[in-house]
Amino acid sequence: MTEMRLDLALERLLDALEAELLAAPEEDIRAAVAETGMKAGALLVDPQRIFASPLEGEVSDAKHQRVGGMSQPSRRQEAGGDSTPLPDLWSDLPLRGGGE
Amino acid sequence: MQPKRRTEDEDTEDDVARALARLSETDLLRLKAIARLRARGLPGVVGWSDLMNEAFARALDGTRQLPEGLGMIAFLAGIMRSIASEHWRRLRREAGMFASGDEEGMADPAPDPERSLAAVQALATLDQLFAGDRTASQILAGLAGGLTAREIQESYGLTEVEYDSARKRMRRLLLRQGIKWSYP
Repeated sequence: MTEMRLDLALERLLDALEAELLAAPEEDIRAAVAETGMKAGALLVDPQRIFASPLEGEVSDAKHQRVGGMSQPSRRQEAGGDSTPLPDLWSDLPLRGGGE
Repeated sequence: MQPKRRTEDEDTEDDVARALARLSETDLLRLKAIARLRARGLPGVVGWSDLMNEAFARALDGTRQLPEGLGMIAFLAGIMRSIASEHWRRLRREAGMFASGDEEGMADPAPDPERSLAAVQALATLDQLFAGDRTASQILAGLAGGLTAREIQESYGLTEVEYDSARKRMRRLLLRQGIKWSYP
């Protein structure tokens, strides 16, 4: 009898459950929000976090390496062009602040 | 002086930035639930918010290209999946299990002990999450075993209605848990 590879079993499971979440109807999400009282604003407390991920420098591809906590240059910057200010991802969202 | 002509890359990056800025509240909450789920397979030092933030950063800086026709949520979910895989590859390299690049082309190299432990813990957590729902637990076991929906129904004697109802319960529970779980 062959032993089940638990890491592969988990990957299959996560992929299948992720597909469920991707396909979840909006009304299911709204129902979950109503039940839990959570709002997306809770995700948006500190926008700077997006550019200070502890995962920086942890990726295998050297092209993706981020050194010293600095965001890697975009392809536009690498090509010597101008740099585009990062957009305010939150300005258009209906909810700001909030909490879990 | 001629105005500087925008490159195709610049247009693409701006398109991505605009698409990210347009994400709705339900989009963000769906992403959070997906990030929470994906972070289950990682060691505790990497949180769901790390995954999500890094995915946003890579989408914004052009590290990852949005394939034509793919939705932004699916795109970000794919980036998070890649980040999780890269994390394990990096740990394997650091542990000396591979010289750099050796793992390329290997579909499923044997896991190191840390990854096995993380998998055991994640599977136990998911099992616990659905412990009160017998059909959901059966579906979970089937999915982990790589069975198709039809095979799961046949293996456990489930009707299509029972299977679909359980999937809906699972989805709603995952959403509730994924949205509710607090930082990180």
